[in-house]
Amino acid sequence: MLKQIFPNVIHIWPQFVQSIWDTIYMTFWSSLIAGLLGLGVGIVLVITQSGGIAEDPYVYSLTDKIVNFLRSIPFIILLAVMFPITNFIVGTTVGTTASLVPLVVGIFPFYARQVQNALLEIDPQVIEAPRSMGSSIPEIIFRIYLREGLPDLIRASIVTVISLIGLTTMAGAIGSGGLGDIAISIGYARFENDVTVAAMLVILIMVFLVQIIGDWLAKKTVHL
Amino acid sequence: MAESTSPIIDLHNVSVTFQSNGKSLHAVDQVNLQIQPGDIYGIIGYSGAGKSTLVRTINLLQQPTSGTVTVSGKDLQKLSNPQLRTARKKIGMIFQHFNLLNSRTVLNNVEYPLLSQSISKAKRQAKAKKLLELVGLGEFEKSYPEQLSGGQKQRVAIARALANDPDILVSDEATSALDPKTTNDILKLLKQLNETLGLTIVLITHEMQVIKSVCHHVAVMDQGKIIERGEVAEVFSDPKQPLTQNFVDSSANVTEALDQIKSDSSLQDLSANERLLFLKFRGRATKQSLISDLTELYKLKANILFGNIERIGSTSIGYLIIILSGETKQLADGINFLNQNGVRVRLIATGKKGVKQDVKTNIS
Ligand SMILES: Nc1ncnc2c1ncn2[C@@H]1O[C@H](COP(=O)(O)OP(=O)(O)OP(=O)(O)O)[C@@H](O)[C@H]1O
Ligand SMILES: [Mg+2]
Repeated sequence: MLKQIFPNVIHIWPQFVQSIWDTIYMTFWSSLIAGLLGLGVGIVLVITQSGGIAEDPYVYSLTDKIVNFLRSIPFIILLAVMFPITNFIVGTTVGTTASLVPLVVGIFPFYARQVQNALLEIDPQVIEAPRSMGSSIPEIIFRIYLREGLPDLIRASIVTVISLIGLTTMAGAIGSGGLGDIAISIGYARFENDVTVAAMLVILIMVFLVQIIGDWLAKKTVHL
Repeated sequence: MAESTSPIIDLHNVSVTFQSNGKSLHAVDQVNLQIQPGDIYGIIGYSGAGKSTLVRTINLLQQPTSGTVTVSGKDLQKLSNPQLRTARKKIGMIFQHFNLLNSRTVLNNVEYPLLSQSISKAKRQAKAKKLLELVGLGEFEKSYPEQLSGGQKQRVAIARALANDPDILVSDEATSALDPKTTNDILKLLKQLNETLGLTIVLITHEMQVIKSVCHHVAVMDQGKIIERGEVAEVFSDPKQPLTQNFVDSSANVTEALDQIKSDSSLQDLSANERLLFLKFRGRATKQSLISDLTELYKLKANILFGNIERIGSTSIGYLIIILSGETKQLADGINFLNQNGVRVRLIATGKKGVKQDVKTNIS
């Protein structure tokens, strides 16, 4: 049955499975790195904005500009532009690890904005209370912002991880490996359509799983 | 307590100026305010008067543009950041919208201020529980804020504000979102805390009832300035400023009654020998039978549309809105008689002219 619908997939089965792992690898590590970076930058945006707990117009406008600048570069161009930098950091420009560099640079500004929006949802008055109780800036960040904002942060993370899965496939265009790579270099180039469809199905399942797990987590964390 | 020598809060020439769209706004304008330990000090004023901005300078949540803030003998502006945070712990604050942490249980909310202290979790929770019992919410420790009523939320907020054993509690419109009964309960709690813990309370409100029921002293604020201040009974029984008078009037529902009567068209066509009058008595005059004197001495009939007595401390202020009818000469004499007996009379409408436009200028 499967052999008839996906003959070429079966043919390259070990390679197909490897590409699933490659996609998971790229998504996981770039989520983790870009997540931390984006979270940090998002927090900086929130606390340094006018009226924030560490108001600083210079830091705010600089960070804001960098984020806007990076977000305005189309990812496919970013891939090309990042080539020398990737080479410098990783020592190569092909493969899953090399693709982490453009993936992180491509997604963290997006996530930073999402984090900023999520944290701005918290009523400033709710922040005023701990300030009046003598809480320090780190205490307010970790005990108030990141806790009160957790469900929204998780929702923002879902959106980001899903975009990121999309970006990993684009990185396939420059030989990153993964499902995008296989869909293009085999499915598209050799007219083996079943490979493309199979890659798409696996990606759909991944997106679906991320969505379900994320929604569940967001609900669980309303109360801590 | 009241005879203490030095004030616990001393604002000296404090101004706060905001710059917006190239214009400067003097939200707080050269305010001097001294509050004695153990006092309950009310600050009353309409929206935008600068009350919140003023009290936020007490813990430097708002940096004054100029002036000095001294709390418990410390010049707060001279403190380092960690020292300032320590000082803030001794100044509790509660808010109109409670500002609880929705992700945490009631107990965890009250525990929050204690997290930065190096005490064991057991001790922390024991203290939080004790505070919850103090505010009458012992059995709610496992609830979340969203499961509580407004009054209960404010009690949690009060318990939280007390966690660091503050000397001062600042209440910024803490009862403004609550119904009258709940407001009373919360005010009683504050009064009790003042008496049992010796807590100094600074209380912002725009309702005179709140001031009357708990405060010892009051400052009336308008456009960033304190325009009148003193003991509550003194300030409100003999207001020097029109705005203060305004608060007294609206507290006795007089403003509302006047508006209603003025917009009632059936009262516009009074006959020629009728006068619509607003009478205000103070002190001695409230105890005399002036209305029956009018009838006996001047043969005037008084039809009472509204009456109220506002008690402030030991003084009473009486209000009457009446239609007085009788002969023109007698009407004039009767009104004169009232004036001589310390009643302030204001003519709202006469038979021919209808509602007078300049009534406002007659009020004092
Ligand atoms: N951060 C700010 N930036 C600019 N203007 C401000 C700021 N905070 C307050 N103001 C202005 O200062 C004035 C006083 O505000 P404040 O909040 O102290 O009034 P309030 O007496 O507490 O009023 P309310 O009863 O509505 O709370 C207002 O005109 C307000 O618009
Ligand atoms: Mg206010």
